[in-house]
Amino acid sequence: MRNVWVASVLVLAGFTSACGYNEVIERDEDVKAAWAEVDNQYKRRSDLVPNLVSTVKGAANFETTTLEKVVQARASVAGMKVDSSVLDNPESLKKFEAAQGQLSGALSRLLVVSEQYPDLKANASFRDLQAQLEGTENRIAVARRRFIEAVAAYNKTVQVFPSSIGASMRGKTVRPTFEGTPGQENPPEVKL
Amino acid sequence: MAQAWALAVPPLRTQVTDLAGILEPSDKMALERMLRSHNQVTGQQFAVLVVPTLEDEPLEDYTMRVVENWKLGKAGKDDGLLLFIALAERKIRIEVGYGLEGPIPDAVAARTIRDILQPAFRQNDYAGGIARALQTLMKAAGNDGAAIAIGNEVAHQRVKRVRERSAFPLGIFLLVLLILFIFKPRFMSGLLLGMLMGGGRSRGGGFGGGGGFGGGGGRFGGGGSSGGW
Repeated sequence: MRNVWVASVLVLAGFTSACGYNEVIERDEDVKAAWAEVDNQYKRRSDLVPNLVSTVKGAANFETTTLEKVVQARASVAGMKVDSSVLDNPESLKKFEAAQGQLSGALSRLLVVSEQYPDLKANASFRDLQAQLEGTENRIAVARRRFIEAVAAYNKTVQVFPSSIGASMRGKTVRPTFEGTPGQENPPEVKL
Repeated sequence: MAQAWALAVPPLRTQVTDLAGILEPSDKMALERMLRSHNQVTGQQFAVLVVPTLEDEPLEDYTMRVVENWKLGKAGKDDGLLLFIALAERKIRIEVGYGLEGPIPDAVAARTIRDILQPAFRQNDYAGGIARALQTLMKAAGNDGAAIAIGNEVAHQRVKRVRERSAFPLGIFLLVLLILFIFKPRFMSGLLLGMLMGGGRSRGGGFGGGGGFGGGGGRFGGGGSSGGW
């Protein structure tokens, strides 16, 4: 009788792991961790903006429209409520991405325009801020790529047989992912 | 995303990988000694990679692939750093591991490129520039001990040697070669053949039996700075 029990337990364990019951949870956690990093880096960029704006304002006669666009874009990013529901809802994710993309565009335009202000380029604080901004943009790119990869791995687990069985047992469905490439939505146009 | 034809990541065999041949073997070995000592003192893994060209791959994409492959720095501490140079494109990048982003923020990396590497490279002082840059980064990362001093001979002597070489009367040398070609063609072709055959630099000798050099599993998040000269 005991052998039957042992055999049943083994079969059940084997079935559980083959159907991806735990694997889908692990992939899901990977997605959440990757998302936390993306959110972290976007926040970090947003935090750099006030300092950048005040440094640039200090430069003589800096053209105001570019600065205003940055301030506006940052305000709309800061005004978004980002919780884990963004991960589940394709519309929320798109909106998030669009708002961040607007800030990316405004910032890159600001940096391009600042090339024409020699006293700004000579300013050590501005140069350091520029380095930090470029560093953050790169970190955002890396975090996004890793998020997209994590979502792809998760979606594969959810859709491919046999792990799709465990996924539906856990109630896990396909997740949305990032669509565009950051910075390419609004290429900077500079009127000289 | 990585394409099928993307530039290959070279294997990590030693602290200084110079695929473009800009470093004299003695300088390369001195730099390796310095970085090895730094690793022994702090546990941090700094490495240098010089490639002849990026072949159209974006700089940050390639360096990220390199550090994800090499995994410089200890797992958990993520204290690795890569100094990367692409010779044909004249591009430089300092890729900083998660664990070093505190002592070496992006601004410090940017300043190292702008104030040390850029001016040195514009004068073709590759070894000196790299040595001084590494010393600055090592100091920022908390090591201002003897390890730094190992690099001094490279950091300071180079400039003198570069100036000596540029004074060499190249024109006269070429004229002599031309005359020899006309009068002794067989001798010259033998000489040239010998030079070409023996000209390969020995790259594998840096480490001998001291145990292989490998990444410790450290992770990178994209921090650092890019520049050029």
